[in-house]
Amino acid sequence: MATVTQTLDPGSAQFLTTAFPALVRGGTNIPVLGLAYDAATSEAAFWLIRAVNYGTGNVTVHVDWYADTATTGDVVWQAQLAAITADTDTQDVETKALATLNTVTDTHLGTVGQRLHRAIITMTNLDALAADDDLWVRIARDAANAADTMAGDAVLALATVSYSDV
Amino acid sequence: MAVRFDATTDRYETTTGLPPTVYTAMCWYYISVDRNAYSLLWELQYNGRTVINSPYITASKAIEVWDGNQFKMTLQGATVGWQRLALAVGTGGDATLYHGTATGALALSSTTTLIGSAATVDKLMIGNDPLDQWFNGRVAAYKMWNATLTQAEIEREFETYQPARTANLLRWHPFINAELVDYSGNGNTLTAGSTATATEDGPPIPWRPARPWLIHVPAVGPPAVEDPPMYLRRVAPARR
Repeated sequence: MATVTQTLDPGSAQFLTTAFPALVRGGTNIPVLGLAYDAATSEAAFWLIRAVNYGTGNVTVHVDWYADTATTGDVVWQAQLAAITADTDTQDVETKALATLNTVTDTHLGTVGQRLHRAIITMTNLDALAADDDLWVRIARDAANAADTMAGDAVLALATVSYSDV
Repeated sequence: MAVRFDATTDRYETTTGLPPTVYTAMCWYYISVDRNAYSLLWELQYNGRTVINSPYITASKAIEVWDGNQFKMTLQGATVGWQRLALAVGTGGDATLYHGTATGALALSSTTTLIGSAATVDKLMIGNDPLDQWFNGRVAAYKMWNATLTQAEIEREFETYQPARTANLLRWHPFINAELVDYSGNGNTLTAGSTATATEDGPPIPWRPARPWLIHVPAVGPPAVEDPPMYLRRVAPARR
């Protein structure tokens, strides 16, 4: 038994033409490329991966993020999946819908505004995921949620998707 | 992110790293405030202030290219949203203008000869021109090659900030920050106008294409148990 982990690179995220996080690039000594999610508007980014050797069980999405300016507050992160089994599913890929979203509320740990946090989302809505499916992952900030209290952008620096191979 | 021009003094310019007679220039742009007047996206000059081969947004949001003598190559743009614009100039000044909104196919002009192409360019300006026909909006992913890119290459280049084609790349200004640096590695740094530009949200494209995957699928389950070969079998000591 092993855990398969795949990275979701913010630099290669895809977007719809509206409500998407801004691409930002900062860093004094190391380049930090990220996706800046707005505090007032819900914005989403997408990645396509192949669920190589997916076995069974929930999928875990890790969102490594930092605040642009804030030092307090909560961020509500959402993730959604859409899985298609090639050669089996007859679903039109361009009209494919996402499964119900899962969320987590992550609290800024204070002291330094741009410290890195890790939000962990347990994906229970798997969209009938099967091994080697093409899997679309949507990560959003639920800015309209009353529980999202952090001011300013939340910048996604890296995300991962992990699952068991048995 | 994208750089925002919102004043006549907001502009970028340079007198180095200028295109020869054959080149391609392109960017994403977004009209923030409709000036209802000619607005410059980028401009080439020679002999002081003579403008050539420069795409302008007209009061009706069309894109027209001033070639030093007249406007040519009109394509209709949109008032709202991110838009894509490219100008590819080939030998003899034969040029094609490409335009599109954020998604869908690019519209392209018929090939037109731009008389300004024979001139030796001595300045590039982005966001304003000598006549203060300034652009009130955002620009991102500005790229220039000293080669004529094909339509397929141009469509591909609009998909990411990062250039896909590095051959003949003359300058690359992602404008993800309000900075003057040339990311092409050629050192073709820009000079800013007298007021600082800000940044605002950029076009719906990633920084780079998805990285290629190397998928190594391990064997599933434990290794098959087989009888050990003869040389590994424990041999019982001989009885005496």
